Amino acid sequence: MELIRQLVQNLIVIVVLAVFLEMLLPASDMRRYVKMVMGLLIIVVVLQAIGGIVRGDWQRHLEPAINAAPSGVPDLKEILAAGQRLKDGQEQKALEEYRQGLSRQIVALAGLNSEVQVVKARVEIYTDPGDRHYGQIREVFLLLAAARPRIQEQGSGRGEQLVEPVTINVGERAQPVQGEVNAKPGPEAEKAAARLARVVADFYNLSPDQVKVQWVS
Amino acid sequence: MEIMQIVGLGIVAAVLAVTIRHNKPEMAMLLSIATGIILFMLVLGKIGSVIDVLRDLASRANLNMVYLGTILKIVAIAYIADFGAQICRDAGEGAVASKIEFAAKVLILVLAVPIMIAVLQSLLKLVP
Repeated sequence: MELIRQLVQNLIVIVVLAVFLEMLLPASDMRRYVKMVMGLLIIVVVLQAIGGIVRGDWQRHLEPAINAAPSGVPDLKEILAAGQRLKDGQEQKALEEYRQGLSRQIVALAGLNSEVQVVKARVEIYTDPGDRHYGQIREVFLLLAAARPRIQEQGSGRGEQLVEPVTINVGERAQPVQGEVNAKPGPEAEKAAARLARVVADFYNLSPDQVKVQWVS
Repeated sequence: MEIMQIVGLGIVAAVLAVTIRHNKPEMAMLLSIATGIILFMLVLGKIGSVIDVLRDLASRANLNMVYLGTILKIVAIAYIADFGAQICRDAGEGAVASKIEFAAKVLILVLAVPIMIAVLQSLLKLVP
């Protein structure tokens, strides 16, 4: 509104100025030329005033309306912070899904090797978004069974595994199913585990140090 | 009453010019020129105050003072050219008077070029 008022004021002054100047003009053939130049001058002034409105700093006028939040709506900073928390949570979930998927993939890959039995595979990845290795595999832990239950039925020749004899001792405390970590395997099993670790490392383009083997009984 | 002085001077100069034109036409022309210059000098101080008012109006309208100066120069060119052309016509040199007017028109157009450029730039600035 202030801009329009200013524009109208300018136009009034310009018209008065033009009339004033026209009175000064000589009454001869030159009058037409001088009037033409004065008309150009008035056009310049009007265009400058209109240009000031068109290219005005509307952002400055709109800023209070943009920043003013309506009642009942949380502050913009709170919304942004909640969005950031949601984003971080989603990233962590995606990383966890990725890690678990890799673990399952490694277990399936290692399951192709019949020399050792992989109980579990644990994958650690770079979780710092600022790290240049973000999302890459940091370490792989292979939990291998020290003594593979390969009890074959004598004479069947089909290699089927049988369930070990179950012994029930009443009154004794139950032993953990996972067994003891870092149980001692045999030399053949250690070689097979090293080969498996190398296969996993090659498959995922890791260094051999990044694949660690642990034995459980 | 300055107007009485101006009118009196003009009438005296006109009577003298008419009187001597038959015998000394060149002197009549010089008398005419001198009278014109004196009359111009008499009103020059008054024009200064008018120009001050014009400057004030222009500054109120946020008008660039360069443009106002150009307009005033153009008005002055028109007046001076008209003055010279009239004297030449009085002396019977209509061709020279036409040349003076032609030169004045060219000078006015030359002075109008910056204003035309300003119009063009203002129009182009409006285009997004």
